[in-house]
Amino acid sequence: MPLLVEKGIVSDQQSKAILEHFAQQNIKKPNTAIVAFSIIGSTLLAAGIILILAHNWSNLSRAIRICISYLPLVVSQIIGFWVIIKKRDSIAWTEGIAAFGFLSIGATLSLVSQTYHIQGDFRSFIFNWMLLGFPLVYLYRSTTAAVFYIVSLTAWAIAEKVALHGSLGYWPLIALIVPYYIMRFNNDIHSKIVTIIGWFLSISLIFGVFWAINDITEGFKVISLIALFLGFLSIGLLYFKDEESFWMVPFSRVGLLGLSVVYVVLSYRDVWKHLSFTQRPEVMNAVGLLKTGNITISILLPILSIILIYKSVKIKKWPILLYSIGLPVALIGFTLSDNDLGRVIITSGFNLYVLLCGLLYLIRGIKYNSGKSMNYGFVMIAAIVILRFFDADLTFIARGLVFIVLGISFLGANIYLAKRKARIK
Amino acid sequence: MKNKIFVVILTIVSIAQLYIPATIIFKSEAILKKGSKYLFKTAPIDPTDAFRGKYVQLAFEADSLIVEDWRKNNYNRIQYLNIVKDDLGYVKLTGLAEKIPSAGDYIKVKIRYIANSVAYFNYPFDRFYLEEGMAEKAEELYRKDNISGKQDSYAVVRVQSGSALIEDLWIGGKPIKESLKEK
Repeated sequence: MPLLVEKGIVSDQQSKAILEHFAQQNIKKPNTAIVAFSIIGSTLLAAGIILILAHNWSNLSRAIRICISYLPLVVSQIIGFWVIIKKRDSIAWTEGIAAFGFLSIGATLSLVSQTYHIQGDFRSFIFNWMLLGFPLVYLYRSTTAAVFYIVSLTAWAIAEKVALHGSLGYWPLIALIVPYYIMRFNNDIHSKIVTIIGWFLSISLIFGVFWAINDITEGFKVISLIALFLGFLSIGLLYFKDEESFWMVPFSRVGLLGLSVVYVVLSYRDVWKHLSFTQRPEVMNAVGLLKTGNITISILLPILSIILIYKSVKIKKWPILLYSIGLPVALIGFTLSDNDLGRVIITSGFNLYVLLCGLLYLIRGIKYNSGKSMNYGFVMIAAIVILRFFDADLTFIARGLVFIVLGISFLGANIYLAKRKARIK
Repeated sequence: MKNKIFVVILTIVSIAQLYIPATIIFKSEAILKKGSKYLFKTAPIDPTDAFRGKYVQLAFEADSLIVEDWRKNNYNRIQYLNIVKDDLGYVKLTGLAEKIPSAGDYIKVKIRYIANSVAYFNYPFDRFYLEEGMAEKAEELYRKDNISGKQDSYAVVRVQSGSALIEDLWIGGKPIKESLKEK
């Protein structure tokens, strides 16, 4: 820069302004590599300390073993105080210490249990771990801790479901992390942090619907799942731009992908046999639902998504309307599907529905020169066509022909679109 | 000012983080100090299950009991196992109960399965942790001794108000650490 000033390319004032501009950018955008290394480094450090100290484990007295077990935790707390007082603005420090702190809680808990030969029950171990680690999310404003928390909470919910019959506790506990996401979201919607938590949160919530709801009719589970995906899609449409790359918009991607999979699955006739509401009368009555506490989730989720859908419709985001149709149709389907005729009607409906979705995306893609839209539409259509042709008892030649036709039209459409794009340019 | 609040929060969080593992320590130390001592004869383990790396998987001779009304004692349920000592200090099982017994020692066990009116259960102590490398050798010792028919291997267990902890593991008439040293 001094060289540029000397040569008269930029003035003194300009040079100051440029330097200031870059300095500000540096403050705003932390060096990802440094943050990543600080997280990995502190994790390795915690593991290393334990391994070195524990190499002669069996010959140490109980008191010494306990001191060693506590060491990583105490070290993380001491460094934590220093970080809070001196380095609260450094993302590398806060993320590093949060990762170290979170992991050392688990290390201390498991080392203490081993000292007493307690085999420990995985559920209470991970429950204690995640709750003691949770405050670190807000204390250090740490995304690493948030991710650890989401992952361990999901693991706990699954373990709880396997051991008992459900883990409704998942829902209030996952809600605890939402303010952190919103805080980050309001701060900078395009940041990597928002993207990372978005992915973990959305995938964890799918597990939540699958595992953290007590025994209810599968039909209700599917309704909750559709509602969840519709909610995701609405969030994506409402707050994020569609032009963002695949990884940048987790909610709309997970939502759209989830809805496509669920609707394709619902186009199978056999699936409906297990989904009928009348299949499980004992859990259908309102008292049973209230008792298990599921009603809150299986009603709250659809209500939440209806609000989000309404908001999206108001700003004319049409894909949400198209995908919302599936929710009431599925609901009607579950009451119809206890007989063969009902199942025929409902599966034909879903086949047409998926075809329609695919077709609309295909047309939209060609109209607006969007390869993404067009190919998505193609995949939907192809999925339905291929699946139905496999169901039907057709010869290999017929099946082969279907593949060839689909392949040619897929390639042809893409070549056509590419050519048109080139022409426009 | 803002920092002060965070320092206070971190202090509270740190105390909680130190306290929870400490509760395990206090409870375990109390059991080891005040609990009554029982000897549990070990039994051979399923060889496919054997190698665990960091601990010796244990099985015990006394792992089942005849139950009269077995339909009540369904699987995965927590039950209270009444125990007494014989003259040599070995454990004798006297009954399974739904509720906490008012007298005598008992252990909380989980029913594994019930077949022909015999209830099989899991003890809360079936692992003996050793450092890596040692556990493998220990398990070999354990297996050899348990199939030799000598029957001189047992776990020393302390029992207090339903909870039980392994104090030591004896194989071939010696604490396991001594047996390992001689090897």
